Amino acid sequence: MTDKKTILKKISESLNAGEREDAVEAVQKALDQGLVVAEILETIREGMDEVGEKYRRGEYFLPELVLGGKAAETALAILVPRMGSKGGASFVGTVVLGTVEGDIHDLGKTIVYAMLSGAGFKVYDIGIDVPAAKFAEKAIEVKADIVAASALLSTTVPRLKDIEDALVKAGIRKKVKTMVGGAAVTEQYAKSIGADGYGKDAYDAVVLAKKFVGQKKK
Amino acid sequence: MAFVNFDPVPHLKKFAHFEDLMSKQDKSEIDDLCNKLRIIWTSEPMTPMQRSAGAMMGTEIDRVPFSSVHRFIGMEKTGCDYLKLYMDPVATIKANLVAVLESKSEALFGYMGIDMNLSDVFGTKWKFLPNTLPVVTEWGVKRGFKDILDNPLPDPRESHALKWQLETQRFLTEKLGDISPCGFSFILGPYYTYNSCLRGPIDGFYDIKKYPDIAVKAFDKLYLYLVDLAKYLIEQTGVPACAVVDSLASPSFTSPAWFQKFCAPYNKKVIEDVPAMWTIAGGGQGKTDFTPLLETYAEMGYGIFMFGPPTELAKMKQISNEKGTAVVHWALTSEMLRWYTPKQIEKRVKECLKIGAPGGKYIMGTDLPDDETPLENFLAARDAVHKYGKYPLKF
Repeated sequence: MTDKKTILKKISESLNAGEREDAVEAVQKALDQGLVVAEILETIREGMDEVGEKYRRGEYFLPELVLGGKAAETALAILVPRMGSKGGASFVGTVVLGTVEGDIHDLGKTIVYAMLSGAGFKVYDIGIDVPAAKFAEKAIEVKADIVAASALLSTTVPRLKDIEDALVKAGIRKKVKTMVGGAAVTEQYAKSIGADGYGKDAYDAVVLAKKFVGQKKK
Repeated sequence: MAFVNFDPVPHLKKFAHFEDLMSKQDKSEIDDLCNKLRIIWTSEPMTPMQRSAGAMMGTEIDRVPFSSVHRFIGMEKTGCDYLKLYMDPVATIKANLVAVLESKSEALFGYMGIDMNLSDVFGTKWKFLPNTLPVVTEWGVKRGFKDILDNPLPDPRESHALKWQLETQRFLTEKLGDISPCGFSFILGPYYTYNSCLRGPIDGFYDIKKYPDIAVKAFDKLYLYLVDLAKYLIEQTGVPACAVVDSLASPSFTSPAWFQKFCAPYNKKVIEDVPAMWTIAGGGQGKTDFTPLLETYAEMGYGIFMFGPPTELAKMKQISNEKGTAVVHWALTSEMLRWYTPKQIEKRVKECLKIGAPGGKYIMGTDLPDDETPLENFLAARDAVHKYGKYPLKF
């Protein structure tokens, strides 16, 4: 039998290497050997923090970030059905995530999805080309803590303001935090539309989301 | 798994020539638009073609060329939505010509419609949406490099996207090519082609990381294919420049190690292998900073830099002065165009002209205006170039 420390190390290494098959195998092994879900989840969170930190330091680049996130997402899929049961693991918070109406870019959102999932958030990816009202509808349905939206095209940036308006119209703006990002978005613009935060990349998104959830709990 | 050509707009298949799609009224409207442009473009001391060519070569010209168009104005004025843009080449050409007229621009680009970069012949499928660009629904390459290495690559001449790109470019070149640089031909590097057109970035990055040596073999094969395509494009359209647009091979999208292994060798070879008058290093709109790569690009032998902020103009100009590289500068970002006042835009244009215009080899452009960019802002940029960009320069 492999010891617990070795198994958890293997999970972390697989995320750093972006090896999704290895990540799944290591998580499965951890479960088979009776490790509690919360502990495995924490290892995945720490592993993704490490990947994000390496990205921030310029040691990792977009491919490593994408692959690490994908590995975490794949591994987490095994854990999700067991969460909330034995082991006491739960999600850090709930996020509704999508790309704004008129915009079909997927990559940035996919990375954010993987990174947030890896960080322990329950993320509802509502897709691309999503009308503003859908963000609000989904946020109500899943009792979201955070609504996150991206716009990659300069032509679709104005749709971010529509989401703010839709949340106000739905009467939930004060209950959720909003964060925006994407190649065409600037911090200045995020402030101008009243968004709670701007993430310049997926790493920033995770830091922001953790901050928001922390504030809510206080 | 062999590639199966995906034909997204079957109704266009029966037409061999762009002219076959035009009604008498279409023809009359398009002729009228072309005549108006011809009158405007021949009213200055130099035609846009002479001015652009002069700027590229560093010979004497009347003023700095301004190579940008507010495309959405044309779409708005002619009622051309995104579906029409991809389904109706005549509507697209009209929108394009109206955009050039309304923006008082001197650049004429080819068909801006089905620009699917060959993904269709490899079987990548997409669907059209009314209010934005098409979305990929299925990637053509499903088994990674094996698909590329085990199969004959599909004939690009069968590409629906390419056929209409060439056909409309030919039409515009025949109409106005004597006085306007009717766009340039471009190909994508194998790294971008694989990740962005054929396999998708997530699986694409995974394949490269897991099988780097096989990646090189697959990219070698793809590269030869892309060079053949570039030659074909140049031969068919007669355009003078060929861009290797590889925005995924930028500092934002790949690591220096991957750039050196999977991007640079092909970008370098293309300059020797493609018989274009100029080769353009460009791509990566938005916030991509290409400054650290400029020296590398110049060493590779690129003839033209085509970048905007945050890539540093002063550095582009320094290299241009040292190595003769021409600069097509996207001086204004989309945000500037949208949010600045006309006065601020004028100031920005003036600042850039001060750095870029002395000594020539400088063309000013902008990043893409968005659909809410006021036309007056766009025209403020264009007017400022006309006012301050005249040679000899006086600031």
